[in-house]
Parts: sequence; structure tokens; C-alpha cells
Amino acid sequence: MTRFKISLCVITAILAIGILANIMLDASCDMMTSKLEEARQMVTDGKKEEAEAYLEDLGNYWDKRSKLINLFVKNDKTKDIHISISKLEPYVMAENDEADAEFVCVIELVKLLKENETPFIGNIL
Amino acid sequence: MLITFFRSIILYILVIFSVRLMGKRQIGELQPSELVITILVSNIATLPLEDLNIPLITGIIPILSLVCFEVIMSWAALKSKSLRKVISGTPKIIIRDGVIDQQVLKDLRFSVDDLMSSLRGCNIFNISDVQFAIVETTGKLSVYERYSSRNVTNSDLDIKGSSINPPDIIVSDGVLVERGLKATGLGAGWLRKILTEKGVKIEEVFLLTADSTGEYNLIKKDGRG
Repeated sequence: MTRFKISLCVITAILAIGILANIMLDASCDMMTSKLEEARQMVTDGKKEEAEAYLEDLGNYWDKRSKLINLFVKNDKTKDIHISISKLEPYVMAENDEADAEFVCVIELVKLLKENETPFIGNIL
Repeated sequence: MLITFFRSIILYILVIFSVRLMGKRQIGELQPSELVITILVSNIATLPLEDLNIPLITGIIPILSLVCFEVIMSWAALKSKSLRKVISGTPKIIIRDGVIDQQVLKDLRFSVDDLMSSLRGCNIFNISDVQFAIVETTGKLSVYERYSSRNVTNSDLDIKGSSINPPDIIVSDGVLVERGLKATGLGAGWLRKILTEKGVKIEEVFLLTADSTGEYNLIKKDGRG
């Protein structure tokens, strides 16, 4: 009976951790998406300096978040986003045409990260 | 490298915990589901060690989940006979009155060689000596021999005697084992008497075992340790 109780506790703990981790990941990804959209809008509006500073903050934010996310998501997935974000700042500074494409790419990567970790039937199977 | 080392320590503790949670069973006594879980756990445990990109938690969660499900299912099987049948199967009588049930043999995909080998493992070399042989859910063969082939017992020979518990360890490596002394019901007085008789201190005793009748075996330390 003790083993049964321990097992139930462990399963409950796993479920709780899993749900919390998913909530945290969802919140982080949503936040990232909205921040990226904002930065993209700044670039479109020609607010270059403002966008640069914003992207730097965004990079720092992702640094902190990815450390937490890496506890339960494969490192490769967060690394790709990190690399794309680090490309954005120089692109914006150089007024590179690829900046917008890179923005779209990062936003898509963040959305994919969120989607791939959500326990949909498709992801489970 | 240090990451692998620390991960190894964590997984070692986890696997030990998992095995303890599953309970005490020998490899040969594992139920089919337990065997599958054991193999799965050992495979999953290696994944976060091989690939450092994989978070440790993705190794920990399946191990804990599988073991916990196994414990919960075995608890449920204990409560429900039909579930027990589904999970573990049922024992099958393979030899009845010295005759092999060939259909059961086919169903279990047991060859005659397998059967003979298992019988030899039970010290039986002639099928006609077998009254009943049952293949247990673990795959082990249990044999009930014919009356004429069974070993003679004390009751067959009408030898009187009382059943006593096997000897318990009273002193191990110079340290008193209170539980053993209590189990035999001999008490500290008896121990003092024995030690005085033998002229040894408790620290000089390597092993002292005794049964409830006071029958004992004392081995002194050889002085090299």
C-alpha cells in the first residue's frame, strides 16, 4: 500500500510539474511573439534606435527564459531561436532587407516551440 | 564530462529508487509486464547520458511514470482477478498424470526440449514421475511428483521432532544485533554467559548465531582485521 501511495504521489507530482511547465512555456512563447511583433512594427515604422534597444532587451529576456525552458525541452529548439534573435540586431542596424524575413522566422520558431510542446493528440501520437 | 558524471549520479539514484519501488523480485520471477518495464527503464536511463541536448527530466519522467504505473497496475491486479488474468496470464497445466498436454505445449510455444530441460532443473528425468507440472505466469515450471517418486519425509518415517526457527545472527563483526537476540528470545543474560564461557569480549566475536533452544555457533575474529 505504501508503494501504491508513493506511486500516486509521484504521478500527481509529474502531472503538476508537466502542467506548470506547459503554462510557463506558453506564457514565455506568447510574450516572445508579442515582443517580436512589437519590434518588427518599430522597424517598419523606422524607429531604428528604439528597435535596437528593444531587441537587446528581448535577447536578454530569451536568455533567461531559455535556461528554464531547457530543463524540459531539447536544447536544439531554443538554440535556433537564440541564433535567430542574435541575427536580428545587426540586420536592423545595417537596415538589411532580410531583417523582416528573420523576424518572421523567429516568430514562427517560437510558435512552433509552443505548438510542439502542447499535448495535442497529434503531438502525442 | 562533468555534466555526464552528475547526470549519472542522479540517474543511478533514480534507478535504485525505481527498482526499490517496484519491489523485491529476482529476474527469473519477474512478471511479463515487470520484465518489459525493467528493460524499458534501463534503455531510457541511457538516453540523457548519451545526448546532453536531451534534458535530464525527459529521462526522469518516463522512468518514474512507467514504474509508478507498474506499481499501480499491480495493486489493481491484486484487487481484481480478471485484471490479473489480463496482465499476468494464468498458470497452465502442462503435464497431467505423467501425460504431456500437447495443445498447451503448442499454445505456450514450449518445445519438448524446453520442457525436458525445465524438468531436469527440478531434478526430474522421467516424465512418468510427474503427477502435475504447471507453467507459472513467470514461465517457471512447478512440478508435483507422483507419490511413488516423492522423497521420504520425517512424517513418512514417523520421526518426531519440533519445528524451530533457523538460527539468528546475535553478534556480527563485534556488534550486537538486538533484533536477532530478541527474535530468539534468549536475552542479554544468555549472551553474557556464553561470552564468559568462551572467554571473549563481544568486540572479539566475528559471528555468533543461535536458535531459540540456545544452540549456538561462535566464530572469533582472526585478529588480522
